[in-house]
Amino acid sequence: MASNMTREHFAAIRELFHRAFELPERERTALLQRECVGRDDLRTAVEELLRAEQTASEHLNPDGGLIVRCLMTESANNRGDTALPEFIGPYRVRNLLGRGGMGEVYLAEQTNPRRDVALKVLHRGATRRSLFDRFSREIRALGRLEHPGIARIYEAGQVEHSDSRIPYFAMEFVSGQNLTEFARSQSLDLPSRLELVAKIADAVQHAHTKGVIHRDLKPSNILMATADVSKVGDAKGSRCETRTGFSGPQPKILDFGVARVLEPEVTESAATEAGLLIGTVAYMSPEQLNGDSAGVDARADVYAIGVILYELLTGRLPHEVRSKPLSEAALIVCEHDPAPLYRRGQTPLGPFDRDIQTIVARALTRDREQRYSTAAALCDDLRRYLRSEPVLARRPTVTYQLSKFARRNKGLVTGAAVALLALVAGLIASTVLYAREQEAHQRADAKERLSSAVQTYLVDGLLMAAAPERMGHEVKMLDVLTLAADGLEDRFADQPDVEATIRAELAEVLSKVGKFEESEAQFALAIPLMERVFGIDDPRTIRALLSRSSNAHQLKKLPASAQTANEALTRTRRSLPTGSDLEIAALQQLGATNIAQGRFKPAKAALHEALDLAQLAPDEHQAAIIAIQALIAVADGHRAAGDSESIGEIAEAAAVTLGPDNPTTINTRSNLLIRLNAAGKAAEAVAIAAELPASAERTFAPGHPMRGHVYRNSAESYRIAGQFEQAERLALMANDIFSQLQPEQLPEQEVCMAQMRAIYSQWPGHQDQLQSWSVNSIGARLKMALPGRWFTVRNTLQKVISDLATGGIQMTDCDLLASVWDSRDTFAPPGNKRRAMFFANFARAAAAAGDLSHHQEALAMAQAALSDAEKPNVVSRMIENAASQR
Amino acid sequence: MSQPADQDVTQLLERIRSGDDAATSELLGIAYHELRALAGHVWRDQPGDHTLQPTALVNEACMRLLKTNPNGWNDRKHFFRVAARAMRNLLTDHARAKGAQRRGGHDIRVSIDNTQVASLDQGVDLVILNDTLTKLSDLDSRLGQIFELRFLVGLSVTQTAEIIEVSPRTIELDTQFIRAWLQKEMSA
Repeated sequence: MASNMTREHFAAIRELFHRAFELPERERTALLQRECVGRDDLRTAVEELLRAEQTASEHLNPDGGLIVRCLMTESANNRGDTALPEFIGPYRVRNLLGRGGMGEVYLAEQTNPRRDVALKVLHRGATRRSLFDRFSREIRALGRLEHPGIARIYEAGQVEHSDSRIPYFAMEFVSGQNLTEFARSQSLDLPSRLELVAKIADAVQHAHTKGVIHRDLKPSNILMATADVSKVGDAKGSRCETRTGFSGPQPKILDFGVARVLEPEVTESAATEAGLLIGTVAYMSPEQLNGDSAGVDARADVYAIGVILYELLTGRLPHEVRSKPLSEAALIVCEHDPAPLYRRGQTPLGPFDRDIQTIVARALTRDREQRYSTAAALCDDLRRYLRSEPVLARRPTVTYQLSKFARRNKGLVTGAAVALLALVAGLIASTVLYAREQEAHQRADAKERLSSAVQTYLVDGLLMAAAPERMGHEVKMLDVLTLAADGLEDRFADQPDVEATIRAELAEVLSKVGKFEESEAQFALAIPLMERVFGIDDPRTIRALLSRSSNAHQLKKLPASAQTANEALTRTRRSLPTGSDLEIAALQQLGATNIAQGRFKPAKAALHEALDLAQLAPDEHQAAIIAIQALIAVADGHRAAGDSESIGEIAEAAAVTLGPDNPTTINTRSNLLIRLNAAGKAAEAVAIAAELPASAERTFAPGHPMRGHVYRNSAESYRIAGQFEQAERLALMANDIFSQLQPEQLPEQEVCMAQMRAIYSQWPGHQDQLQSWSVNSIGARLKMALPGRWFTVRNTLQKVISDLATGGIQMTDCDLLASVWDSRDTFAPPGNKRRAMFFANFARAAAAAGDLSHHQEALAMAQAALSDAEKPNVVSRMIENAASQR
Repeated sequence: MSQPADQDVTQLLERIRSGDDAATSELLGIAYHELRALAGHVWRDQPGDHTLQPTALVNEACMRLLKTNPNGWNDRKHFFRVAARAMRNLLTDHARAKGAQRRGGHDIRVSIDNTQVASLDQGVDLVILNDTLTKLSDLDSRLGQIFELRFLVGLSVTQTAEIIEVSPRTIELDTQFIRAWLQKEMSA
């Protein structure tokens, strides 16, 4: 019928086929009856097509397979004759085993020693350089490998054949079934299958350590050397024995034809790597499918082993991609996780327990960073499972959890993220440190315990607890860190070493993010614990002492800081070799603290000693040297305030060597600003001030005093340059930081206030702001004044009075005076010799503010206290003066 | 194979867009040679059962020929149409060679006794397939095009729908129809 069919008729058939096809089968007949009245030919045609559709050959699939087969036959036919050669080199050829793109594989016989070999021969038509290269690459790859799980190479050579030389190599002949056939025909149980995969992973690991990545692992490339074949072999089997009692046949990996051989001296030719897909889609990792053939590493093989494992357990591929076009396959593999094993539980081997599920999932993770990083790790986990030990893959890694955490908390305050990252990084570092320590003492069990305890703590205790469902979406930095500290004791009651490690780390982080008080509290708990568990002179303990000293410095608890630094120094000298990192750090801290106390001579002595020690190994201590030099410059500079040259040089060196965002660089540049500001070098200063705040923001947590210093010094540069808008912005930011800090920072805050006043007094048209900042300043000082420190109060009151007297401000904030009045007995207790003077001053201030009742009362109190006064005459005149103010 | 200048291909696509049929056949020639060269390169270098999908091949050809603007989807759409036709020509050539072989030469079959190499050319008689396809294209050129894009290049339903500019559902139904029709004609 087809030969003389018209287009119209064909279109009618197609149209009706579409309509029928969309219906359930039982309704199709009715439709055809209805539509084909008097048109039996149409009806027959459509019915035939509907039947044909159901029986259509699987080769008629829309997957591009047709053209592939064309290309394959074409290229096979181009290879010329296929008659078996009798001999190839010294080998008698018995049979053709197979043929691939590169050449043929023959079963051949070697006479001495007498054995069967598989002979791989580059095909005769091959003239291309790249093919030769590839062939010799496979030979080199195999030559490197020697493992019971990899078919061994015996010999490589060349044969003459009509003017050309054809390379070949002889390798171990493996006669068994392939992996999946074997597992099926032997009805292997679960442990046996897992052991097989472990053996494969072990062999692949061997290849990886030799710099060979297979890139095309799949069951058909893995043949089973059955027991009777390994008669040549040996006691190998016993090595593979496990407690499950399985010591079965050995899988052998074949075909390293597309392997990547990592050779430093050889770069792969562009032709073989020009973005072409290498491998077999079903077993290819997402990164391979993404076309990143250059970036493919050992973890692609881990993925392939994962696919093999999945297939051996469930009888199916993780993703059904065999009949799909590549583009779809790539999309599926790259965008979707495989169906979890529990959903494929209807297999003879299932249901699978959670450990197996996690091992499989970890091997098949799309993001290779989260995959087992080596085949050995996968192998170990499988064997651990077989020995009923806990598997390491049981939990996703910390980084994975962290990224999940970050994703859960999109609106997360950056501070919290910074703090968490710092904490995690620190914990990981100290775990590693601790692990090394333990290894030295051959206490592997302790190492394992610590790292798993820390991991559990991070993942369960911290990241899980900070989940939004428990804490809401806005997780604040302090919440996270408080959470981190909570319950440490209970959690690690029997593991003081873990508790100490975590606490010290936590203290470190708290200090880094500017939570100095909280940090001190943690150090106070951590250090005694460390001294008990690790020892007084243990480097970890000393390091914690130094951090505590630096934290105390930030808290302006300078004597305590100096004392702790001294203690750390003594301990390093007692227990560590001269010139250790810790000794240098202790001297440096001592120098810094002494500078802050204004004790420049001992500061310089410590710093010069530190410098000498650091310069014994200048390469190792590059950062320390610059930091120390910067401190020395500060210590020197206090006398020659105008000299900004030396500190400028150091700042330059720090920026170049350590980078502009390094804390030492920032600190030094900030100090340089002070010098430049004092010298009035506005242009130079503004150039630095334009960049420094951004650096500080990248390096220091929000609220950190170092940010405050940088803002303030930069603001000062702008003020001197007459750029008041910039100055105002930065000065306000500095004020924000210092006004939130502890009372110990009062002096800093006063400097800020002074700066604000200076800016507004020079800035035309900002009289109102000047006045309000003057009042602010007084209020802040009164509020911050500590009981008993009544000099502050007196000074403040005098300031109020003088401001009022000069008419600079209108005192409207009577609450201030009221609050001072309420604490009058604290500021100037009864019997104190300055009590009379205090009330006299207060009376003046009250009068100026128009607060007459307080004015009267204060005058009376002053009179009553006059008898205790040191200089009654002077105070008496002050009282008279105040009385006349009304 | 001479590598056409990037400019040529871009210009050809310009001309195809403005309805110049001669440009289509010129580009077809270029695409055909490029695909053949690439395919030969791939199949000589890769062992036989490694999957290199024709989609990748066409993509690769497209990337190479359209270096100047490899991401312009319009260009790519045109290119895919042409490349699909080139694939079809590859198939035809192949079937012709096969036919000649059947008439005069001898069919070479290799016995393979394990799974290391996939067997070749199974299941479908390419000569008959090619004849059937020619007839299909005559009867309905759109179905011919869909065949090329789906069965030869291996594009997905969605991609094909975008290139042919009909709904994905239509492409799905047409694909089923083509399968049925081929099956019926070829087993006749």
